[in-house]
Amino acid sequence: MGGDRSRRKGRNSRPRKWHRRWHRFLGAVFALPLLWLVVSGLLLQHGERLGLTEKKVSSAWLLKRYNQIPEGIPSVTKAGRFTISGWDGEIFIDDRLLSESGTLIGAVALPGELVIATEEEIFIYDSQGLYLDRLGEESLPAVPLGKIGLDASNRVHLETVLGQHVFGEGFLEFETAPAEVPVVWSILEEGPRKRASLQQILVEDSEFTWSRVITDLHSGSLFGTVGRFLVDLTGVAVLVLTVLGIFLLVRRK
Amino acid sequence: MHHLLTIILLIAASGIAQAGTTVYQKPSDFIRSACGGQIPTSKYLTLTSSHQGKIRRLMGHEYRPSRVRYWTYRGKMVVILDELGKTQPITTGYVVSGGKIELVKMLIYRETIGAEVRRTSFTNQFKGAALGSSGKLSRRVNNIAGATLSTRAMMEMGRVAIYLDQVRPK
Repeated sequence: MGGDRSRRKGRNSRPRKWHRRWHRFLGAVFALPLLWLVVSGLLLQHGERLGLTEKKVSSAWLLKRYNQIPEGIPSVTKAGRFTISGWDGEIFIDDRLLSESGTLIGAVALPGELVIATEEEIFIYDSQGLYLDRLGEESLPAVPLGKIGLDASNRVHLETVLGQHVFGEGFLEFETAPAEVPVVWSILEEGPRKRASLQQILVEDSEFTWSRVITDLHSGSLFGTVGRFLVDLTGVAVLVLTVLGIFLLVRRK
Repeated sequence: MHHLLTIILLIAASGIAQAGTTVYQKPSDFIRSACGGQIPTSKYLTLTSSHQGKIRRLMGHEYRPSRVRYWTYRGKMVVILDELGKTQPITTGYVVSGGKIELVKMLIYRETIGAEVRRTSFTNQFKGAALGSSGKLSRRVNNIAGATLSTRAMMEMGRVAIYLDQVRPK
């Protein structure tokens, strides 16, 4: 009788040991990811009250992770009193980021107007930098544009695969440019020294809120497929821990 | 450890989705198709503060840029407008004749979702719509589920296109 009880006890203690060992192991391994989920979940839950939905991310490092700050070296050109910079599709007039974008090819200043050319479009601003006009491929001789320049009569010239064209008044029409007219072409230069100030402008102009970052931290998306997998795994681990915990509790009784 | 963190962050950066641009029709091809196969000389309307005030009522904000280019052909006005969907501008071509919309075509879509508004079953709803005195379209345009912001943007641009036809020099 006593032997039976001890045999049964021995049979029962083996799975309990196994349960306890796994419970301990999973608990230790997934403690940190679980803490991460709990903290980020709490922050999301109270994000509005904590101002996370309004507070903008000002970390250049983090914005780089979200491809909000380009790699490479900006291109810079002067047009009248303005310095025009292009950096991976973003365009800047002096220290102002424009809403318009494209690969900068050059810029020229007319009396009262600033003309910025990208490969696909031309943007026109007044002397205060106010956005006046946009010329898309429907208003251009051909795209991509190669160069933009001015002749002595302040007429805007464009060079494309179809040759050299000159705009009429108000950019309403264009015609093939006479070959003998000398043109001063806008030239882009590399501006590695401009990079820090442009990065600062992008950081200040960022619309990225902390709630977006925390959402991505919570779902694991901030770390791509690996992060999402880890969050899934943590979820499964919590399920297993719960089941093992219940088993251990029931067996003890 | 530092290298591991760098690798993880690189994977993270690559995992962040980027919106793509789809060109359904080049604006120049749209103008050609609406103007008998050629692009007429463009004209522009400079939007005064009075124009912008009216546009603000039609689309909730002023239109940028302040010069709007348009093309005319046999009394019709062709205009290409841009308006934000959710985060990206939607480029749409409108043909307006006699104060009524004749044709709407979505030309370039840059958002990741909501491109259903390009379907002719949706854009045909605009045909014959005029601008009512309340600033609304005279024809009801049914929303597409999941593309609410794109639908709204196209309706706002439609109202502005009719208004531009009313105020352009004739």
